[in-house]
Amino acid sequence: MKSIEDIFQLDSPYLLTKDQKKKMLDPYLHDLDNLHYEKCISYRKIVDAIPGGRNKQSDLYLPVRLFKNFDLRSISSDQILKTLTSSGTTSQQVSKIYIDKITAINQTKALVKIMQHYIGKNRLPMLIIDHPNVIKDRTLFSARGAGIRGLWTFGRNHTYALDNEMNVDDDAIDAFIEKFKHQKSIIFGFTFMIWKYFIQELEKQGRTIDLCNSIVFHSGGWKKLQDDAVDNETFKSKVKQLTEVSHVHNFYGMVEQVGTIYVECEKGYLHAPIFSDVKILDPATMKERPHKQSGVIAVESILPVSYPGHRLLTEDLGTVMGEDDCECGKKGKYFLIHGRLKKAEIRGCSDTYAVE
Amino acid sequence: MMNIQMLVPKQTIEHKNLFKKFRTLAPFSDGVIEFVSAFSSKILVDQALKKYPELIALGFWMRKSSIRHYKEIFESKNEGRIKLARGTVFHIAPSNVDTIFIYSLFISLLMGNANIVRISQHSGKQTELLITVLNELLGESQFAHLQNYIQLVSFDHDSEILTKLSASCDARVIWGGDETIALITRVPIPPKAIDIKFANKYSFTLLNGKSIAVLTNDERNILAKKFVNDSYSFGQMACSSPRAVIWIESNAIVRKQFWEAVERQIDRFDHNLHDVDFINKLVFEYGLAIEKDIKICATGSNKLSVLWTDLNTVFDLDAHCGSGLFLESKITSLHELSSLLTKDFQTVSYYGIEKEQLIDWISSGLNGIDRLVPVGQALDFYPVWDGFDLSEFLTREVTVL
Repeated sequence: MKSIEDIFQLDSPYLLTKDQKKKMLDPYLHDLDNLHYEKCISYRKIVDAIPGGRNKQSDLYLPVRLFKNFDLRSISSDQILKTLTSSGTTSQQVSKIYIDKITAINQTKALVKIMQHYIGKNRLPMLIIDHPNVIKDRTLFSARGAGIRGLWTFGRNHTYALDNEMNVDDDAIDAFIEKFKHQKSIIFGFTFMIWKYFIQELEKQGRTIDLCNSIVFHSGGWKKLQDDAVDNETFKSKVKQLTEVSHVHNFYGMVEQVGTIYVECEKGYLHAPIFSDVKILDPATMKERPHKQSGVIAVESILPVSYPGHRLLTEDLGTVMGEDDCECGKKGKYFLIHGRLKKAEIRGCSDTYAVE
Repeated sequence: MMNIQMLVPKQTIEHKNLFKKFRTLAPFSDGVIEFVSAFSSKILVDQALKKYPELIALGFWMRKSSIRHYKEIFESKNEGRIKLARGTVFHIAPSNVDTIFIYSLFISLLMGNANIVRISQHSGKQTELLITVLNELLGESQFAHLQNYIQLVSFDHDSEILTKLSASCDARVIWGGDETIALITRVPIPPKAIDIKFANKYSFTLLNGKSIAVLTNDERNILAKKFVNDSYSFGQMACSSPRAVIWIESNAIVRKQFWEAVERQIDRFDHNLHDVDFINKLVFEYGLAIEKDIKICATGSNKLSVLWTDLNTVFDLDAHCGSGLFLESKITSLHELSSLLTKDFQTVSYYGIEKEQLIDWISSGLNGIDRLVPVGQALDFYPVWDGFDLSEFLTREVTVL
């Protein structure tokens, strides 16, 4: 496995065009195919079971749900540095992602590269739209906690905007504004937290604040907001109206591929960084769909060395809108996500009463 | 306040009749036969119902001639015996094999029972259509007297109404699987009442490769079409839907020919498979590949998934997700299956094997399997279901010396 260090040396993660990117990524992905085949028995069994076996390995995308049902790792237990878990709020089973030192370094470096593109090289004052306990209570809020821990290093003077009862902490916010009003700062939170506990609260109180030098980063999905018919446009315009922030970036990421986040550009599209790529598949055939057609999002990443997560099939729907020609100037694919796949209907004669 | 909705009869606003006892009718009484065959005619002539093959099958099943046939079987079986209806039968219908509740209801009605059917709140379009037809017929003056014998209700599953209906029935018919049965049977029925339970079951198909190898293309397509009907209706999640295919006297060529014919028929079938179903299948396939020794066969698309494996794995059907996924294996003699077939097995649909051969085999002693039917008839309902003769269980016998 050759080192991916030269990729981290690139000035920006959005410089390479389609052919350049393919040329760069393919050998790494191929190496990862071999590495995980050798090191992860479960992955090898799957490869050996599919039609074509190893010859078709590059078409094999592991459904992310497999990480809930199985321990999939390519390292011995003494190499495990940490185990990431997905949010376990509603479903009983959580994904377990085993991270070793190399993968952890890869993830950090990739995230740094991506974030630097938007915020520059210095740590910025950071306002977190959540309450201080969120990173302490690992069992309840693991996804939110992990998100905050992930972006923590890009901030300084970390300030929580909510108190432990989820009320807007006016004193904390006032102090933050007072101190950093004229500097660039980061506001970070989960999309629905920002909307429900911050924006809607400010609106209810008839209050506006001035954080015009801030950049908002938010993630975590739109499902809860769609119920209130809030789309990205509404979200942005309300944020602008109540906080004066005009740089608002949604981003898409998953615990199965930490480090490679897909950040929204000023034109409203999510961008694939150099470390990873997105493909829109038709699950009926597993063939790639043409641009501008929606389908299930598959993601490739060169970061995961410790677990076979280099080619994954998500359960999210999305559309690739184009490649290399986004008006924002970034190269690579740009896309939109449309939320989770609809759950299967209950069919057949088994356990209908029980599940109602 | 009980949260209960009367679906049939329509004009009933109050539900006090639910708890009344009504005098039972004689088995196969003329009035009921008239009603059932009127129901059949209505379904078979309704253009709007033509697109539902399950409803057409239902319509055929209850034609006057078939009802007469069942009557004859019942009478010859019970010659010299006095059979009366049990009384009030409380049916708990499954949510998505929409037609099951009608079979359950009509067999019980033909036996002369008064019936209360709890319709699932997740029922589909077909249930709605069937309810409309029931109400239309019960609105006719000649059938008005049956209104007390056909009551359909809907209510929350934790409702006290379940307790009350259970406490006042003479037989309770529970469709819907192991968890449902566990839940419902916690609610007591009177000491003199009986429960008839339809638990989770699996089914498979038995194919003779030699017989299929000699088929013409057309004949093979017809067989494939029947197989697709059996397995892709209800998303392959009915108890009778085949989930495994066992080959006898086969080779790779004939198997390939068969599955290719199946794929052609799937494309013509209104299978209603969605993105999430395909992903569920991948999760199942890859999970099984990790745990067991399988080969995922190459198919034209994920609409058909075939997993080749050995006899130790071919019946690993617990986590089976439906949506057109088959575990496949081969045998040289039927007796190889005998020790594998537990109470969990319901239907064997077969092709190319003589009925006598099957009878010989099952007569040698089997723990499971309730029915063996030719491919294409897996989903056909029959008054003997899961090994229960409903006409027997829904009646009582009176001895006169």
